[in-house]
This record gives sequence, structure tokens and C-alpha cells, in this order.
Amino acid sequence: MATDGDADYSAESAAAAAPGVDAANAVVRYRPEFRADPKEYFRIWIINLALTILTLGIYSAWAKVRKLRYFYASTVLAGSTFGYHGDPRKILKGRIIAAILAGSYLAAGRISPIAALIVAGILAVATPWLVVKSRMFAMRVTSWRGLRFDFRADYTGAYRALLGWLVLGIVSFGLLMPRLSRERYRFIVTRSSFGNSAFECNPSIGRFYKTAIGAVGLMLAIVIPASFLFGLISYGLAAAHGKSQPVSSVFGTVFVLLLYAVMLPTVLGYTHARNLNEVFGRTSLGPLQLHSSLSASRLIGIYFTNLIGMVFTLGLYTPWAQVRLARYRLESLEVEAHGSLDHIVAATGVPVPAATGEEISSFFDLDFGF
Amino acid sequence: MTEPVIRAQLYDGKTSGARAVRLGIAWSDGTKYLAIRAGATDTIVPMAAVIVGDRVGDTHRLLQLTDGGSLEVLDNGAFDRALQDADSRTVAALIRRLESHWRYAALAVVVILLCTMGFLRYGAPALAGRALTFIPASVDTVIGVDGLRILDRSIFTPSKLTSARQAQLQGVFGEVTVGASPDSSRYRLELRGGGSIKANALALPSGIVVLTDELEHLAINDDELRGVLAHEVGHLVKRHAMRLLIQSSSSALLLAGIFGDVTGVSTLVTAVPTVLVNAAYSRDLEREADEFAFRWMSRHNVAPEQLGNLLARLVDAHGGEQIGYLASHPSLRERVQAFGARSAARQNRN
Repeated sequence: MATDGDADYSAESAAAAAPGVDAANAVVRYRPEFRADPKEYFRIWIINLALTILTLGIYSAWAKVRKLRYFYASTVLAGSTFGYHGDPRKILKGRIIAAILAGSYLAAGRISPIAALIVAGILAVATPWLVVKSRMFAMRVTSWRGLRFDFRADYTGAYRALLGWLVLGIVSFGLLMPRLSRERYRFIVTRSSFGNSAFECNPSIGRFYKTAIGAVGLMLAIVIPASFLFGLISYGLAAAHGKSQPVSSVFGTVFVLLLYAVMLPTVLGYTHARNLNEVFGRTSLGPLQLHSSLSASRLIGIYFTNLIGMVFTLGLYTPWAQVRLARYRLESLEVEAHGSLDHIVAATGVPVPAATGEEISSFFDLDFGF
Repeated sequence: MTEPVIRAQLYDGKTSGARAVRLGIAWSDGTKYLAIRAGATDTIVPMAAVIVGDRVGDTHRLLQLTDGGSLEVLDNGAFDRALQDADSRTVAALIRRLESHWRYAALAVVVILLCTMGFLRYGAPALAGRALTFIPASVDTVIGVDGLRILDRSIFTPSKLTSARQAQLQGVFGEVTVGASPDSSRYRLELRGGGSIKANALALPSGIVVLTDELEHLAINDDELRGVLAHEVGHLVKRHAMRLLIQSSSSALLLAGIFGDVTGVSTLVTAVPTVLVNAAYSRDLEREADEFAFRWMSRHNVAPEQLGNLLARLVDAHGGEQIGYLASHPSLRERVQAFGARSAARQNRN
């Protein structure tokens, strides 16, 4: 058997190499490994970006495929890498439609708040449909060991989970928002499948509420001392410069930006780490059970340093930022199996839908992946 | 037939099992074949029936077989050498070569910087100017319909000028707008107390020019105000609001396309160059409006230095500080000098 210098693979080989023994009883934990090299990825990223610009955006679809191929093929589970099979021509078609929609959205925002509201409303109603289309495309072009993932086209479920809970969340003045978050994750996971088995996921509602309360607490813990500090410094500035309004307004803008730069990574890092741990910890695929052990403080650290790195290098740090984040998130996952991962059976082939849904949602940052 | 030595894994497409195999590529009767050795059995398939996946970086290639099975090549180097003869002149090989050298990466950084700045500075304005001819002027009124209402609530106070003086100023405004453009009939003048923006004048895209009481007090004569109003009417005639709208939307779209999203973190990163470029662009628009004012003044025998004088007094009134609406203007001093030079040139000609 070929050895790949890969510990996970040999773990499986050991199980597989013992025919006759009831391998199904041995619990084996497979940890994905992320082999991407940020220096290598930088060159891929920058060349594809330059080609995208030189071709007036047309190449962007091919660039996206290369980027995702690199990330998927760098992800190794039990000695096998993931495959990305998206068709750049389909992605290009989706991008053109997305660009037209995004253009009208931006223009509407500048014409009047009412026009922007109308477009946002249309977008909100279309979102569940887009999410289903986008997940179908993303899943069906993903493979592991030659088997494709899939996503069930459950539009009714999408409107109930995404729009229904959103409306309830707004009507309840945000009190039901943690529930929306939970239903959203649950919908995305449970409609996904690999081979002939669907993912199951049952995260606890209480846990989402605890995380939401914790996030609000964190926000207050940052904003309240920051406001005191702001008052103190602007008082000092006013005393030093007399009543010079421009100085304090520049200081105010900088202060708000800094506040965002601290608060966004903190609140998002905390929320993402806890929610993803809960979602993946309660996800299973047939006899396989997932685990996730993200640490909130490490995720906050990665978000924060990535933001700083990107701002100070005008975006050139992006490849390092993306690789670091993907590595930490992937390597915090574990797949627990009874024996080997060899016995998942393929479902019958399904056609891959157009990429439009996926492109529109990634343009509007409605990315519902993980 | 060369011995199959390239390490790979075979997936049957029916289960998630993996089987270690060795691959070889060989020619026979002018046809290329792929040999797959699993244990003691060799399977031979024509290479034409195999879909060879792209190799990105140093990651494994995937090969798709016709029976639904697939192969993951573990030994990139050996497989590429075996493929080499056919693969070296393809686009895929060219892109791989570009992606694997630092000197091309450095070149790409330069290309991206130049193209982005070039588009923001010259491409988007040119595009906006071109697109303008396709959009009827009546559409402009849609932009910022509530503009004056919002300003009235947040900044302005009612004008304290006497109604006789207000009527006089409306007359002056009529002089400036008559015949300025086919739809100058919808232009109107509003007088307001300036509040925090003090002595100022501005043009709203819906065709409204606002003049503050403070600026009226600052002017020594109505010719100075004619200059200011001609400048603002210049903005309306040249449809600067619509141009800025098209220009900033297309820039935002470009940056979103490059960095992948509209609302994400990258907005923070790209905000800085966009603001700088937009400021430079709006300075161009100010010069264009000045140009319009200058031509109107020359035609109606108003000395251009009248506007220059008022601008000079504005500089003093704002204490050299440029806040709010004035911040995106070319430095007032620069404009005063430009107007001084213009009038000198005119006097020499006379």
C-alpha cells in the first residue's frame, strides 16, 4: 500500500489491513489536514487576479476554480484530498447575472433610501431560493474519493428556515434571532448529503441563546469602556486646542474605525467558534460523527491579525489570511468512525445545476457555507 | 510498455474505498494509453478517454475515468514528466508556469496596482461621461429626491433675508439659468440660513441650488453672487451628480469583483484608495464648474475676478480650514489664483 507520509492514512491502513477482525468496532478519529502553503497560494492568487483584471473580469470564473481547486486539493482526510469540479463557463454566466444585480443594488442605494429598501426587500425574498441553488452547485461540484456531495432542493424548507425565522426574529425585536441562526445552520447541514447518506444535525437551541447573550455581553464590555475613553480623550483635546471642531471630528472617525476593528473580530470570532463547535459537534453522516474544537480566543486572534495584516498591506496579505483561517477551522474538525471510511456508497449521478445562485449569493456576501 | 511506477489511488465511484495503484503512460500504434496496475492486474485505457484534471500548485491531480471511477495521482513530478510531451504548450501549462515563479508574481502586483489606479482615476470617469449621453436628463431628478428635506432638518435654518432681497436674488438666478441648458426651466434657487456649513452654496441633483444667508452677507455686490450661482448651475448643466453616481458605482463594482465581495472586510481595505481617487475626481468636476462660471461671466460682462474676490474672502471666513462641502474642492487659494490669471489674460487681450 502506498504510503504518503500521512499519519491519518496509516491509521486507516492499520484498520483496513486487518481483514477478518471486526474493524467496525474500533473507534478511529480522523483529523483533516490542510497542506496549503501560503507562499505558493500567494503566487496562484496574484497571477489569477492580474489575469482577471487584464481580461476585464472574464477570467475571474477560471480564477475562482483554480483557487477552490487549490484549497480543496490541499485538504486531506484519511489520505485522500477533496476535489472541486466547478465548470468555469457556468460560473461566468452566474457572475454576469450577479454583476448586473449588484450594479442595480449599488445604484439604488445612491438614488434614494427607498429604492435601496425595495431592492433589499426583493433580495430578501429571493435569498432562500438563491441559497438552495448556491448550495446545490457548491455541493455537487465537491468530491472526496471519487464520490460527489449533494444538496436536496428543498425550497419550502428554505423559506421556512431562512425567511420564516427571519420575519419572526424581526417581529420579536431580535429575541428569536439566535433561533434563526440555529435553523439556518441546521437547514444547510441536513439538506447536504455524501454518497447515499444525508447529514443529520441537531444543535441545541439553548446553546445558541447562551452564545448570543455572551456576544452581547462582550460587545458591552468593549463599547462601555471605549465610550469613557473617548469622552476623556476628546475632553483633553478640547482643552488643548480650544474649541476646534475639525480636530475632534477627525479623532471621532478614527476612534469609531478602531472600535470596529476591535469589536468585529471579537464578537464574530466568539460567535463563530461557539456556533460552529455546536453545529459540527451535533452533526453525523450515517455511522460517522463529527467533532469541532475551535477555541474562541484563537479564532478572535486570527480574525484580528488577518484584518490588521490586510489593511496594512493593501490586501496583499489576503492569501496568508485565507490559508491561516482555513487551516485552523479544518484542523479543529474531527471525524469519528467505527473502523474505516471505506464503506460509504455512492448515490446515482445527479446533474450539476447552473452556478447563478452561488455567484449571486457570493457577490452579496450571503455565503451560507462554513 | 514502460513499467507502471507512478503512485496513485483508485476510487471506484461506487463506494468510498481507496485502492493503492501504480500508473504508467505508454504509446502503442500512435495512441497514448494509461496503464493502471492494481495488485497483479493491469488495466489499460486509452488516454483520450481519461479527463486529466488541472494541477494547481503542488496539489494532487484527479483523473476521471469513463466507468465512473477516478484516480488521485500522488506523485506529481513523475506524472508530469510522463505527460510532458503533450502538455507543455497548453494554456494550462502556461498558467502553471506563471503561478510558480516569484518574478511573475511581482510583475502581477505591478500590473494590478497600475490597472486599478488607472481605472479609478481615468477609466471610471470616462465611462461615466460616455454613459451620461444614454441616460435622459430627467432621470437625474430621481437622485436624492429628499436631499433638501434632509438638509433642512439637519443643517439649514430658514433664511432671514427680506422678501424684497429674496426676490432680487431669484431675478439674478433667472439671469444665470436662462438658456443654460434645455432643461434649465426646472432649476430653482432656495435661500437658507447656513447653520454649521456657514457661508456656502451647493447644487442638489434634483435641480435645486441652495445659497446661504452667510454667503449673501459676505458678497460685496451681486456680480460676485452671479459668479457663485453660475458655478453651481455649471454642476447642474454638466450633470455632475449623475456622473459621480455612475463613476462610484462602477468603481465599487470593480473593487468588489477583484476582492470578491461588497460588504466584507475588503471594503475597509479598498476604502482608502477609493476615497483619494474620488476626491481627485471631484476636484476635476469643480474645475469644470469653474470653467462654466468663467465662460458665463465673460459672456455677460461680469469680471471673473469678482468670483475670485469672493473666494478669497471665503478663505478668510473659514479661517483657512476647509470643512464639509468645501473639503472636496480644489484648494480655494488655487482657484483664486486661477481666476486672477484668467482676468489678467482677458485684460491683456482687450
